[in-house]
Amino acid sequence: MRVTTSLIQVAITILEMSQEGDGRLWGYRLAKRSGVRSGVLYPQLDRLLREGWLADYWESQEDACKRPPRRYYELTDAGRIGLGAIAVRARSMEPQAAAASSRLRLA
Amino acid sequence: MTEIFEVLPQAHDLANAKTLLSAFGVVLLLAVFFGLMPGLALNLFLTLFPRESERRREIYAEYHSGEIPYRERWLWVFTQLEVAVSQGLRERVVLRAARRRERDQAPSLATEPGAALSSAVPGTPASAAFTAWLDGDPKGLDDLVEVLTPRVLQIVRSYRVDASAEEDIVQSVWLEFVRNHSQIPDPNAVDPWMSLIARRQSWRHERGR
Repeated sequence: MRVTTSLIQVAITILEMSQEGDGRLWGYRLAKRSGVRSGVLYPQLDRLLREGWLADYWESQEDACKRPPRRYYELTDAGRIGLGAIAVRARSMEPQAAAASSRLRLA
Repeated sequence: MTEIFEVLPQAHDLANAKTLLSAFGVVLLLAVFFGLMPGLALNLFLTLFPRESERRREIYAEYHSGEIPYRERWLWVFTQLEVAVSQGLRERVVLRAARRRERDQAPSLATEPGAALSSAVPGTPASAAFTAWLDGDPKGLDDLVEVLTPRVLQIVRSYRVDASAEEDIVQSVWLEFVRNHSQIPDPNAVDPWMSLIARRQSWRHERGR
């Protein structure tokens, strides 16, 4: 899986959100929290679904009362490992990136 | 002569005023469109998706969840235009290609010479039951229903119809089978024929909703 800046942001947001409350994820909340716009986020979610890192399901009509049922995403065990690895690698690269930029500024 | 020179600048001003007014009109129209009727704009964008698209329903549901603050709605709707153009149109193209493949394959089952006569082709459980029924064994139909109903149900469910309607559609698929089974060119074609009927009935149901 090609790791892009937006994927890292989405990965961290998914990991954070799935630990809070009922762990349910949906498009608008993810876009808002991660700061990744919908046009980028949705294709990424599709990639994660194909990879088996996310599972999706539809809200039941009873839960949704008086509005159309929402599509939820859920982190799978494989996803917890895969996205966790991406997030950890990104975090370990942060000091290097900071060091590199400070060197550039010195030069 | 002097009169004309007095009139000309006025005409010029008038043309300027007109363009200014029409530009203002366009801006006003856009503001009204996105500001006051973001739902309408969103529905318009979503028509770029195919009707059965999951993302289309997902985005529609997100707008109607009431979670997006009123002031941000127009901006959010506007960003969905990007999704609709990039993903919706692609889904449409993919779906059309799949439909074309299916359409091209279906008649080949009926027209392939030898397929109807060849006894070397091993029969499926469905075709065996169908043949038995055609030969006058009433138990054949029971077997056929038992063998094919799971597949029919699976197809119907893939159209995400209401649970209450599933049963009705399955019934109507079997009804169509009993009425039109003489059109099945060959007992081996009973599986794909039933799949096609299941798809058509589900689609009809969804369209009629």
